[in-house]
Amino acid sequence: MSKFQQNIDNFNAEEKALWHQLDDIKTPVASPEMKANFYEMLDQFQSKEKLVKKESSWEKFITLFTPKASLRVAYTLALMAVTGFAGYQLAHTNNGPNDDTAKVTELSNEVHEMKEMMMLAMLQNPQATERIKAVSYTKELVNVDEKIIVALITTFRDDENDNVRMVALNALIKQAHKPIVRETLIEALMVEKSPLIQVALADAMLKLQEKKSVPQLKQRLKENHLNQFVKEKFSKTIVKLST
Amino acid sequence: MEALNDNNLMLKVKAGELDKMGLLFERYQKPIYSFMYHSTHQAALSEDLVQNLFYRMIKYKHTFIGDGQFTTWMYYLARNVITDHYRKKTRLVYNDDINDTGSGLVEEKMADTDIIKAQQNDDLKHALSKLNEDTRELIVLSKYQELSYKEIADILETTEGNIKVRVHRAIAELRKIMTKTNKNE
Repeated sequence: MSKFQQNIDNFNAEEKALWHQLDDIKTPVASPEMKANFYEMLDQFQSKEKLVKKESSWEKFITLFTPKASLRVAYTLALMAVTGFAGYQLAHTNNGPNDDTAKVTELSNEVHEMKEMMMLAMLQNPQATERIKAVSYTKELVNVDEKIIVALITTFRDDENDNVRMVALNALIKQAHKPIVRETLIEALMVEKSPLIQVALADAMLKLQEKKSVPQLKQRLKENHLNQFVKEKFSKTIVKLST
Repeated sequence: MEALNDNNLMLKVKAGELDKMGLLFERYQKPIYSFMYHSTHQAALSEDLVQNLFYRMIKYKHTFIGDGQFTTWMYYLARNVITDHYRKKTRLVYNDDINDTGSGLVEEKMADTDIIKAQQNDDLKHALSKLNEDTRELIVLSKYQELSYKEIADILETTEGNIKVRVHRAIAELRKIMTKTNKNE
């Protein structure tokens, strides 16, 4: 007897019908931001704990001059410089509409490059929160080029912090139309050690309906030391992808 | 390898391994979002409430003892999150999301049967909104969360028998409201 039947065995026919009707009110799917916001919050908690445990007042003072603050200042100044220079050029060498369009395009490209540089630099930041922010900058990039994809893949594979890797994984899922990204995610299934990421990868395979991942999932299921919860998750994923 | 059951994970979080909260989030984000949604019928608000719940779970991790089920503690906090949200709003507002399937806006090209279904859904949501918070909560926990009477009894700190009677009363009350609505139409 299922849990569902146990709940209504004392209902009359009309009440049972109403009970079944309640199924028609479906739960919508939560937006991806819910997950991203959770991991950002979790990282903030972790950073706070580390600060409380380790940092003296002097160290707090020193952090004012770490790459976190200095990079932001550099980014802002560079953007202002590029914008100012472009504005000056537009104002003083205006040769017609076509010239303006070319300059605006040039300016736009330069801003894009700045964002890319900023993102790549922030990925090297020792603070996980900053690296998460760096990954989230990819949302602002109109064209995610190969350089960024490689950076995201490297972060996903090698970052020491699982939350950073999780955010990188989410960013990669959005780029899953690129074959290299799909291949990376499928390959990661074979080598991933963190149960947290293993579960997220299984979710990703489902979301992407990546049937090519089934052999990898089956292979991992043969491992004796695989976490029980992950095993169940992989089994369910295989079933869903095989139907 | 030590079992990664809910209680063990939460105890690890309590001991300072905050990253373990990520695994609990992966396990419970869907059911707890469903709980928030069926308690409010507002999708965006439900996401905020989920975030608020996990925030509290970390902030008040020291209150997790580990002698009962993790889910009992989680739903206890989840109920408080909803109550506190409405307390701030001073009165309970139980809205339908305008963007939700089946509510409000009906596209012209929908088949008649779909329109009827959408209307029935609206009526049902309206009837649910007429229930008091405690009664509606029983339906959400027993129907949408598929918790056993025993599990609900643990969350609400009462007996299994009491919950069985109250769930039956809740559905009977809902049916009365539905009948009254149909007669008035």
